[in-house]
Amino acid sequence: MTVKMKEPEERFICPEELQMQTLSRWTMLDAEAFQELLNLAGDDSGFLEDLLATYAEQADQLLLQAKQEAREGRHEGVMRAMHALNGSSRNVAATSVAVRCAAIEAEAHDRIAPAVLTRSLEALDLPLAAALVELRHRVEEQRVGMEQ
Amino acid sequence: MNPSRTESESFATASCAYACLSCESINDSTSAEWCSCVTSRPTLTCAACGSCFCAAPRAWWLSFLVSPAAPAFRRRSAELTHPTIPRPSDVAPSDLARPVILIVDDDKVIHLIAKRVLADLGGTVVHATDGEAGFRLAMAVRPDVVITDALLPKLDGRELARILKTTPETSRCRVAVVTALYKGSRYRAEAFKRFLVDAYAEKPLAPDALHSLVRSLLPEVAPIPASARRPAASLGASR
Repeated sequence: MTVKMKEPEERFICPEELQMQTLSRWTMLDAEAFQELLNLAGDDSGFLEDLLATYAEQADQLLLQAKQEAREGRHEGVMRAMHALNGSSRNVAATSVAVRCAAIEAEAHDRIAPAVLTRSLEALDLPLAAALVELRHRVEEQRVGMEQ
Repeated sequence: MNPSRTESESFATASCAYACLSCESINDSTSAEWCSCVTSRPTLTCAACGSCFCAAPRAWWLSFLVSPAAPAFRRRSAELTHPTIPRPSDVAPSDLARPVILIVDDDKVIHLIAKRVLADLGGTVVHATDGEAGFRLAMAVRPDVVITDALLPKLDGRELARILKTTPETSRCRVAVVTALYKGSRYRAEAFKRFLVDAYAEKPLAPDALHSLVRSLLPEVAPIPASARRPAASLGASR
């Protein structure tokens, strides 16, 4: 009698989900810098929450603005928005986002083709989202820790 | 969360949509209720089953933040009570607790950090997001110290410093320019000579460095014992 082996169950994973799974394993924050933010916050978790909300709103606007500037071929506008997002990201310990912003700022400085610049900016969407997720979780952990 | 194919398609067509973790119904992040247990955070509830997502796993947050969160953040930001910034028409310089420190930076994260870092000085911290607004605010509140970014919308921070130092009403304030752009001795020398700054620092500026910078511009303030200071923090120092 031949026993037919049951094949392992496979689940379709779309490229976006695969990319998300990869990103979710990354550490998007600079642990040392985040610890410094925690020190600054002390026992006030509201400070970190305000910081996160302010950063999230600002980052969203700057990325949107940079994409618009890139589409219209205004390299200086992209440089300015990326410079701002770089600084803001460093201030919330999102160093990996800051590093990418610096790279795009350099690309804009070198006046690469707007289409290439647009692709670089679109590639910033997920790292930024992942950094926001990680920040959100760390802030939540901090709040829960304080309540216990 | 593992949205079905249909739900994935819904995500693609409606960027404000997010799926509930419990009942998988699709919600709109621009109109959903905030979770009542965490009202100060951008956490939404499901309109169908009322579940909140405070304890949602990381993967759910990741998918949530890719598209539906941006409108939710904007909405929350509009609902947040922001600190009141004095306007020229409703502030008398004598009404403000001294020292008055004006922060001019288009990065609002800096405003929050500076306010926190400088809290132990016991004065008033006000802020503006562009050079022109910074000058108007300086005329209104007559700050003791101005910390301005160099690269600002509308009016360059270094130019703001020069205007402040050459305007009789504001000439007595001490001005520091901080920059991530104009680094190096040439720019530093130019800042002191041409733009008349009192101090010049490079970004990223650690909270302790910001505190020290402001204190160095306020010579009359008595030193604060180290034991009375908040735990040392050095944001950005090593990055």
